[in-house]
Amino acid sequence: MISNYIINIFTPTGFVDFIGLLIIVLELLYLFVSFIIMREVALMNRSLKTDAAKLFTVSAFIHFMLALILLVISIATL
Amino acid sequence: MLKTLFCALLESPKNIAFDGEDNDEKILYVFRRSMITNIDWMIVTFFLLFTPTVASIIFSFASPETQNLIPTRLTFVLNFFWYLFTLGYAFQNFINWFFNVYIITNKRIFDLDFVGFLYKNISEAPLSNIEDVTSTVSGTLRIIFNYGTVNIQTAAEQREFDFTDVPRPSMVRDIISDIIADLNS
Repeated sequence: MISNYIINIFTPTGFVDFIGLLIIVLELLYLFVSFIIMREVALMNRSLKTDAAKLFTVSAFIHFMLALILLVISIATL
Repeated sequence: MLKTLFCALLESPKNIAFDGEDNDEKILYVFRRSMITNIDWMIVTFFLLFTPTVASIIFSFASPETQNLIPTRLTFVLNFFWYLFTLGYAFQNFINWFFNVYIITNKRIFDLDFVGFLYKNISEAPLSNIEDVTSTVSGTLRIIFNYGTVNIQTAAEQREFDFTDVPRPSMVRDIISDIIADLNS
């Protein structure tokens, strides 16, 4: 079955499916990165307290949620 | 808030505090790297934003069979991911600029460094330990836009503080020298 899948990669539809799978893996990694960014913003806001703390926190959270939504959409549709 | 967000030189900022600030400590100045130092990632962001449009224009010249090969949902996901990545890239670079600050209070100087995702470095030295202040402006861009490095020699554990690429370095040097002179008098 795996060998069939590997052979299919060299067909146009198989290649597109492979790209879809690759994108899902990249999105998983990016979700992790966006989570790190969220934690990083929290740490930065603790180190330097400014008016813009809430703005950065919300922006980082929205960014994380968009990454999560994208991952869900990709898994559902690809 | 706009001033707090985009200014590289703040005098007596009202709504800024830092971790470890004493009750009787007053922030006199906050410096960041000059806004012009952000031009490189801004240009990259600009190109990243327009890449999907350019790619779709180029792809539109391909044959219909090739165009039908890529399903619409894959194109949507690719575009979404691309713009999300661009947003993340710009955001990460902006907060790195914003939170890398040099602070002068009535008691000490303070250097807050965040590099990448996982590195944080905080250095501080009492004002009384400052021995020497030097400013340097070198390079075409730095001379045109008047930003450079202020090097502070101290007698503390951290021997040197470098306020890198701050705007108006001569003025910053002068400010620090005046503060030290007032302290000594």
